[in-house]
Amino acid sequence: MEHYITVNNLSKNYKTVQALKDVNLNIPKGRIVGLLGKNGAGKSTLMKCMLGLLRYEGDIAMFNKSITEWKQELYKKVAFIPDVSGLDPRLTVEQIINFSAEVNDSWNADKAKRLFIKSDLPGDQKIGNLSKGMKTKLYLLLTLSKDVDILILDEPTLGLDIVFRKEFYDLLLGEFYDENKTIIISTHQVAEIENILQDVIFIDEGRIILNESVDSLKNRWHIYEVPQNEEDSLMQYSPKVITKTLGHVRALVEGKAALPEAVVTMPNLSEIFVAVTQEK
Amino acid sequence: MSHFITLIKTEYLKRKSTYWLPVWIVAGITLLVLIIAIVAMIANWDEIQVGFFNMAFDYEDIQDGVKIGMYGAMTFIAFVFALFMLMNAQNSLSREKELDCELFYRCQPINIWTCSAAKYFMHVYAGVVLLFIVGFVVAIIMAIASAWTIGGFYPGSALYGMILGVITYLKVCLVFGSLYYFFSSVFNNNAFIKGTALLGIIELVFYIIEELFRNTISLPNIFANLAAMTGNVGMHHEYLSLKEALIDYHLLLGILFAGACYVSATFIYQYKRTEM
Repeated sequence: MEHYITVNNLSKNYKTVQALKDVNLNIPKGRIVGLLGKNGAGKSTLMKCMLGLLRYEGDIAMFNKSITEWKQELYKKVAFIPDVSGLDPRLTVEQIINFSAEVNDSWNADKAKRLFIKSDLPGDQKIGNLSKGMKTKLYLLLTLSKDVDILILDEPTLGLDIVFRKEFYDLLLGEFYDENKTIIISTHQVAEIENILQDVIFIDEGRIILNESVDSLKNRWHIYEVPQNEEDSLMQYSPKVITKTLGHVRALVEGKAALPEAVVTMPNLSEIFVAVTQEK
Repeated sequence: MSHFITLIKTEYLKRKSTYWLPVWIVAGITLLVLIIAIVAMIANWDEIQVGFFNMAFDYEDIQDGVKIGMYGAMTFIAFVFALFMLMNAQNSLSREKELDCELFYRCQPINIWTCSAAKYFMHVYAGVVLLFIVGFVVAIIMAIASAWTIGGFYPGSALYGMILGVITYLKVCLVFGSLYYFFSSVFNNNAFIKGTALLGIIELVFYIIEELFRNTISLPNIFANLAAMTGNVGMHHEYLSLKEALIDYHLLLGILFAGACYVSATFIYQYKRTEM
């Protein structure tokens, strides 16, 4: 499998705080990867290190070339949407589109035209006067108009309403993703994207605690719901995230459990995340 | 090269108002002076001395008087332009960070030196072009006014004074504009105040050291040295000299200083890029 990103022994310190601790991972070509972790777990730091925006210890390679060698050329192949929709408020929508088109060799003029005509973004409006949702949409459209191989999204839909969030991910899948492109998304709203993710990376206190495909993860973890009198039997399987409901006990179990009375269901990613972080 | 032109254009769009505001201020004041002068002449208020219309030239050579008059007008105009130039230069490399849009620009495939060069050129020197145009218009008005009041139409003399004014302004940009451009890479905000305060503190420390050593050692006077780098402005009591303003070794020092400011500012900017 071809890897687009390879990270070896990555560590990052902010004065006295160690934000990343000996991170090792490979991100293959053509995958949609979710980077999940609590606040302050190191998600944004990891992404910024991958983009060459922070100094770090260790090695990061993109397309088999160290990012220190790439310099600004890296951004011909990689695009980034940060957690704050940081577009220049002094420019108008049209001016920022022209700027992006002129500085990016990978700009796809036909695609850009199609995307912006379909959108309801007012060309003559200053970015500073747009709503947060509109700014994020503009940022996404600018990014989608570039033919890049990797897209890194750091909490892109933070603070947006559900309609904008849905539109955002529909656009992302419809206009960007194919088998040659990789998307890395960090988000808190796991439920919204879990059906589009192919791989997940769980990060906690600067360490990678899990890096696995969603399919394998969902085959490995199950939710067992048993009557309260069967609780002891359930406890033999070291369950996680135990919830007691009226007359029943519900818990997450790694692997298969021989509990004939139990109702077995598939867990969602948030539940697996909680279970894995508890386990650690 | 095409990236550089795009960056120049974008820098202009970002700060359009700060380029045009000094033009409107100067235009407004010039218009006001003209109206008052015309009203005064029509009303025959002989006792009122307004602007250049009623200037009494003591110089034997009227042309030198026109040159000096124009240079005087340019000093005021250039002062207004210099204020806006310093306002732009002092946050050249920090404004995007303040506006939370630095990451957008950093993640574009643009060379950092090209990016810095475009900012440096636009925020420090772009005003010279506008000053030249404004100065040209004022010089023509001055020449016409001189023809009307002192009986000689000397547009060449007025332009001479104007060009000398532009050159003096350019020297100020070269030294002080570059210095505050450098400060914009060091400080994340209010670089003008912080930079000036820093120089003031160093100057004070030097003064105290000199006093402590009972003036047996001589430390450099920072502000005086900076001003000296702008060199000879070519102004004498009775005439102006473009040649003296241009052929001056201080100008070479100023160019070297400006180059050092640009290079070190870009290095700091590049270093800070990795700690966002």
